[in-house]
Amino acid sequence: MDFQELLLIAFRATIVYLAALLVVRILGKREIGSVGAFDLIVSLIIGESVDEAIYGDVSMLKFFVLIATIAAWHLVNSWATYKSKKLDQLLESQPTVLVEHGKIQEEALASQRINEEELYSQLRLNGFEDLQEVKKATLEPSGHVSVLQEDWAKPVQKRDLIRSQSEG
Amino acid sequence: MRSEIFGVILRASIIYLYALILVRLSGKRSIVSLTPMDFLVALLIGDQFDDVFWGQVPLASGLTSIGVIILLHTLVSFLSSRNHWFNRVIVGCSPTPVIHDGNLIPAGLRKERTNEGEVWSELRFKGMTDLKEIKEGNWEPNGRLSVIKQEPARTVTKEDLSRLLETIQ
Repeated sequence: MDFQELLLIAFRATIVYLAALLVVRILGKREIGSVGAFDLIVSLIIGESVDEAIYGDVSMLKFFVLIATIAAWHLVNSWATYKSKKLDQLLESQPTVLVEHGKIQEEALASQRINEEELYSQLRLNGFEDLQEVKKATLEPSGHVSVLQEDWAKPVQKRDLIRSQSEG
Repeated sequence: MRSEIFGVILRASIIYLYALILVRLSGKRSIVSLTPMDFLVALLIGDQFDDVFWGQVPLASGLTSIGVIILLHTLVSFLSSRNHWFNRVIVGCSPTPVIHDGNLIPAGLRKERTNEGEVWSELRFKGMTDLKEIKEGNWEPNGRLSVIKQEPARTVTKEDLSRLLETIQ
């Protein structure tokens, strides 16, 4: 391997890096940097296709065409789900209520393929031990489980003290 | 050359839509809820896409292989959500107790191949510095520590306040 070839690889790697940077800038961080499972796949698709371009197995032109095509589809996808509510429901997940007033919603768990162990794990991570304290636990589109407490289990706020002071 | 370029566009478009449908069908929402195996599967299929784009592998072979991997993985996660035994033994997603009544459990730490330092790091994120305040600490399948506090260390709830008021009156 001669020096010139290494220089060429360095040159191609630079172009590929700059092209990837450009794509991420155009798509915006919400598209590539976000936590969606599909965004991860798109990042992998772009990431995996660069090595052939860097080592010269595939022409630069083809590489540009490829990432432009993927980026264009990704833009169309996010634009269409923004415009159409129906498509959004179809492609992006809606929030699902997993626990309501201390009762596990078995059907919701089955439909989201979450077992009870995973649910309890999520509740513990939120600091909950007792199901009775949970007013509503929701699997959010982001994949996080949000937990709302029953009123009696909520921490005391200053206004509670003020109220009880004025009452007695 | 022109037909080659067109081929790349066509294959990239098909793969994009195919991946979108597969991820949607698999029901995975985000990388927050990904298990280690989900992540590995993402890498496995991600690595196959480029061979298809460049035409090194026929489109049909690529789509079949990617589809089968996702199908298998969805089947495994479906079974693990329905069957307790399958989840524990095959998938291995169960919490490991590492703190009990204010004491570290060395066997739990060994099992998770972690040390005291990492436990303290997780506790600091939760704003806690005293092990004695902890009733139960579990290393959860997503790699984070969950903490259930001892009764005296918990925040005062509205219920506590109204009970206190009743005893005073």
